[in-house]
Amino acid sequence: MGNILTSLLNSTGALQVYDRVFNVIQNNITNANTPGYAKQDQALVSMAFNPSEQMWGGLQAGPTISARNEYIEQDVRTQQQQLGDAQQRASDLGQVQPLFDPTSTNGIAGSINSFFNSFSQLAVNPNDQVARQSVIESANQVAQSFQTTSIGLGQVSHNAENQTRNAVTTINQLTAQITSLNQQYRSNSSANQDAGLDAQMHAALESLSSIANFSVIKTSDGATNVYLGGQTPLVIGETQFTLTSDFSSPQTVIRDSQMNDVTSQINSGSLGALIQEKNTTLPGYLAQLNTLAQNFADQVNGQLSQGVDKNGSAPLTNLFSYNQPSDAAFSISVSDISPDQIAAATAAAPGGNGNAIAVSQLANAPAVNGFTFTQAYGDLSAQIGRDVSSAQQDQTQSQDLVTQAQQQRQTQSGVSLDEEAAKMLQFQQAYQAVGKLVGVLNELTQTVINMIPQ
Amino acid sequence: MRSNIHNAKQSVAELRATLLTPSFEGLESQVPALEAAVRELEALKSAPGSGTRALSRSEMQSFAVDLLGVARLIEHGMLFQQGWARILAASACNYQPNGEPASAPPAATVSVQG
Repeated sequence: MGNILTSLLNSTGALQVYDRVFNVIQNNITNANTPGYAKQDQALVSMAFNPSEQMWGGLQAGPTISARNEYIEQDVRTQQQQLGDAQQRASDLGQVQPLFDPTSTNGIAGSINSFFNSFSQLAVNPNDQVARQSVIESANQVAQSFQTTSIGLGQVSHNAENQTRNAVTTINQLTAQITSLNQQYRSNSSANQDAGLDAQMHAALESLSSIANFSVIKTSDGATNVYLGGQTPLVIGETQFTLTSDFSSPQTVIRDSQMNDVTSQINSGSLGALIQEKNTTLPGYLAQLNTLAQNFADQVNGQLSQGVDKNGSAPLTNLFSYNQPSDAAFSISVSDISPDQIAAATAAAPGGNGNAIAVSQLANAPAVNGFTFTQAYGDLSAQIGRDVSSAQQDQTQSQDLVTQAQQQRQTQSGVSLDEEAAKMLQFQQAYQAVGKLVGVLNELTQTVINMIPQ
Repeated sequence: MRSNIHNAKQSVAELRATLLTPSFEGLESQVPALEAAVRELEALKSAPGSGTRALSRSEMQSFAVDLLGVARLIEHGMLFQQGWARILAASACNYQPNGEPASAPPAATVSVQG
């Protein structure tokens, strides 16, 4: 009788245990597409069998085991940071490239060519009013194209500021969410077994990873501490430390909750890319543009100052003016002069075309670091084109690396260690076989690059 | 020569697809084709100018980008496996990744996966 009762009790216990197993399986299926969710397993623990001590064996439910592995999660997050960075650069530099179109007739290169052509036309008939008026119009066109490009760069920079503000707000929202989850972990001892909380935490961390680089330390009570750049605390237990963006100086500054400058700690994710663009890349392009505008204005003014106008007088006013070298592209303008005041002749031959010819010859003279004006502009355009292309390539490759890391997460998670050790050896052998070819591939890449016709 | 370089491109594209969803069987199966691709590309080095006749400038550029991308995927995969190996080695010796001794595993545990 005792045996029948025992069997019944064991069967009831086993049914309850399997009920829990099915619940776990059901949960896995329901949450298959839930962001951040990791598969759960229900461990079954055998009970002692010793009839003499009334221990009848059977099964009981053990802990719920998460298939999550933090090493793999960190790898996915690292790749997400690189992707966030590359996507942001590709998007922002994509806005810059059309501003530097070397083929546009209204762009800087086209207007500089038109300007020098107008002096060539003036040299043909130096006293023709229409030709003189055309010089002033083409000068205005040059000034306008520099201004338009400079304003365009300023707009991209302003957009970067707005996006930086939004990125910092999103970081603060995500760290608030992580702080709230930490509170739940600390207030409920069974929260460590809660797959839903775990999923929310990892989804928040993965979202954060596309914005900035950070490290994560999980404490024994289940809370997650987050450090920006591995140094500045964003979340410690139940305390959130907010970031702020500061645009009071030309350089973007990110400040921690104590108002310390932590900008240098952010070197990845979309925020890292935005800071790099605002503080380095865009100012670099603008500096080159200003140098070109300044050199152009100075050299044309210098040549014109050596000639005489239609009345044989030395010019009193420069054709071009700008405020200062550091904003030459934005502030360059054409002085309010009449066509008669264009100094087309040399002082030695008033009424002639000597100075108009000299100005037109500036088109082919080394003007900026050994380049002509249009070559210098072409060089800047090419540099921007290379930067855009590089950002787009990085974006494609980073997307591949994220896909690879996510697949690795799917492949490696939740496998028993014994199984995994055997698999790991096979993987290592396979990678070693392919890895031997990496050096050769890199060398061949150079070979292929060298084959590309210039 | 054009078919050789196209074969090499095809091998590199297949390896990229394999590396995106890595499995050791998949990786091993790519090695012979990749070695053949390497031989074909090395042959191009000894025939200067043949590459430019075989492929257009944009095709060559895209091929160079593909080669760089595949090299990055291999490097990332190898780094990941090395880190994974360290974790498993520590775990097999009953240590946690942070160096703390792991708790003894419960005896006679059965795990059912869903």
